[in-house]
Amino acid sequence: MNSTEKIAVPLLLVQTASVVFLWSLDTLTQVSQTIFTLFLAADLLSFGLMAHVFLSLKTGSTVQGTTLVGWGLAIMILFVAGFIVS
Amino acid sequence: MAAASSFPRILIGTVDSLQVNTPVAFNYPLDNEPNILIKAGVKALGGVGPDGDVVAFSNVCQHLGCIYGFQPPGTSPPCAPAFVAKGPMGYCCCHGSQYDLLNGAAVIGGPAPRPVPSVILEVDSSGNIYATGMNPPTIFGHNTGSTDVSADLQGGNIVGGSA
Amino acid sequence: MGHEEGQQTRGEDKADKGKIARLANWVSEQTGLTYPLFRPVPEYSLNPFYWLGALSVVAFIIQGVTGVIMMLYYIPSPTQAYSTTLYIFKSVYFGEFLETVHLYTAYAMIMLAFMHMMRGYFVSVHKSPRQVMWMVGMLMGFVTLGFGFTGYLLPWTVVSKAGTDVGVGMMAALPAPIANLANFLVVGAGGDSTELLRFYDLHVVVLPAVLLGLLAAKMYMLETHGVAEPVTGKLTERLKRTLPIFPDVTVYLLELAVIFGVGMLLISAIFPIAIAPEYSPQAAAAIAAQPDWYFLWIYQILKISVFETVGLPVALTFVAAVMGALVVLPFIDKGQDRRMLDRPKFIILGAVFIAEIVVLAAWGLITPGQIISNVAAVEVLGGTALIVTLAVSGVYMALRPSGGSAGHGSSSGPSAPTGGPALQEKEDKWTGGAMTALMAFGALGIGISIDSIVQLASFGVTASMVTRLTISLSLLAAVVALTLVLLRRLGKKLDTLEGRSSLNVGGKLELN
Repeated sequence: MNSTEKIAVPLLLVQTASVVFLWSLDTLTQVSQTIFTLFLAADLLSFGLMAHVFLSLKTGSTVQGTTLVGWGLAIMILFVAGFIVS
Repeated sequence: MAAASSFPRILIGTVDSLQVNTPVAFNYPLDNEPNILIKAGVKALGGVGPDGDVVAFSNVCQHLGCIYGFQPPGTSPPCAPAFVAKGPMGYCCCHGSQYDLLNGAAVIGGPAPRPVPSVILEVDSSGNIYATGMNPPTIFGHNTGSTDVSADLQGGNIVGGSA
Repeated sequence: MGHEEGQQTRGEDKADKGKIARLANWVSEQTGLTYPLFRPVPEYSLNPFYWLGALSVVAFIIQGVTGVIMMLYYIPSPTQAYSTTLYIFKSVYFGEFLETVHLYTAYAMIMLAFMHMMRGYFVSVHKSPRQVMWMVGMLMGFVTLGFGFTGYLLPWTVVSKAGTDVGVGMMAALPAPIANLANFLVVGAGGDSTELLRFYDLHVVVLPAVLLGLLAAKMYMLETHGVAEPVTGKLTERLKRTLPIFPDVTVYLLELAVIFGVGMLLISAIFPIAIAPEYSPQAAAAIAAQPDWYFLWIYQILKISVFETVGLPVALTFVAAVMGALVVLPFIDKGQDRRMLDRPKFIILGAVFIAEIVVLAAWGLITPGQIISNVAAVEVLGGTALIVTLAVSGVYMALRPSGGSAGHGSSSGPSAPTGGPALQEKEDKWTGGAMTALMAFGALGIGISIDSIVQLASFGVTASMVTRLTISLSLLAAVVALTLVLLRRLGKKLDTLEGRSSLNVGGKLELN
């Protein structure tokens, strides 16, 4: 499925980056735990987006462009917020 | 009726070590039942000691079981800064119950339905103060509202091991 | 985690489908599980409102995972409970994260369970043949509240022990045999140490086991009966089409769970918790003990003057009667009508119930330690009930312009004039949700306004009270304005639907 592929690849990159970053955290301070939370949220959201696309394609309803943009935006915001906080 | 001897005899402190309106906390008759002992500075109902001003009461409010605070005369409780105690009293911050500790903890305000039970005290010739029993009503949570004080001995570990 | 799933959804050609199917066949051959394990699910149920119960279970699983990790460090003894809780918070990797998520997910679980119950109430899932399912669900709700009650004590802070002491003391007001049993269950004979140990055992072993047992029963009954049909009037063939549990519906659940998880994570990140000081009788004397928010409505009832006079047993009996009525609801609300338009009395009752609980809880929050006068109670609670009843009745009258009873026709009908079925359903959802939100906020505004007025009258004018009154009146004004706007919109739709049966118009109120 090409649409799924198009979304999945950049999302996987986001996930890989956040996992790499998470490993570098010192997890005792409150700040790093906040960062961890934000990145975990971004990871989960990207996974959820793929699930949403998969399901929409399966049931035959169209994937709205705005929905995709909304999800993507949320992921980016969380990701960036994680960097800002650190 | 509970035999008076089944209540433990516990040393709380000495008369000389007491300061006026400074409460001494102790657990009696179970190790999880808080009480307070006060030297009131003026003669109190049921008071022991050379001045007849040493009294002790259960620290658990008879309304819903909160711990009430002791207010020396002229002070205000932390939860009601507008209220000023006229005499040594107990003020419960949960719902505003007030006990007059010079008068056997008579309820002088708030929703408490009855006074808190007083601890039976004995002072020996050397000035040691002992807790030797509880007066009715029962402590809150021990068949609350009953006059059979044997219920005070149930539901926990008796202080100082079983008598 | 996400990597493997990404690869699975990516290459969805026949080869991958074959792989998944072959793996699934192998598993079912080995284990004897019939594949699929659960029956296919109709497409109309791919809607978040149908999954509130499932999300409560997701929350429960999160609680289990975070709880088990914390169990590695927590010690349930009065001398060590607080210090180990603090140790987790400060010195364990992700300890603060664990405790924060555990607390907020607990709140979410209770909230979701409540929403699940109210949604079921409004769409009449408790009618035949699901009466037993409803009662099992109510029991699960009580177990969930029990989780909150037992877990609250475990950190052994001032607020938690003081609040729990009041709760346990209230149990002593029950009739003697029940009180003794309850005391044995939760306190035992050793004072604080056995009490804490029993609360801990209940929280981590007994209640989870009971909940899982009840959940298994409910899932089995769900398999037997299937998903309850929607009461909106448009069950197209497309919506009745079923989807296999694996992978489609599983993916949907994962999607919802992800959104829920992200929500909890964000809340945990934005609102970090602080742990209150350790319990001691002296510290407890200085605070006004309050239960956690989900019990505040009960506590507020107890604080009303009339219950102070006649005593605790009467007040507790009243609360127990309300809960008991909810449990046996299927036998009170008999009859086959499921459409909301056909059950005005019960819909109004449900709306009043929600409004009262919200008002009582909010009121309890702003009046810690204060006894509520009978006059204030009648004004605020009675006023809330009156206004909610009027509002809902007004909506009924607006939607039934013919004034007669709704027909008993079939649930299908001509499609909506404004866009396709998908748009119609979305609007129904929004309308239903908007009405509920408006009612809740309206009740809140009313409650606070009346209380502010009473306080201004009794205690004189203070700046804070006037501010409070202004804010609540503004909230009320906003709610009224929004309600009028919403009603106008519904009215406009009415005008465009000439000649339609009121039955279909009534579908607007559905919460599907």
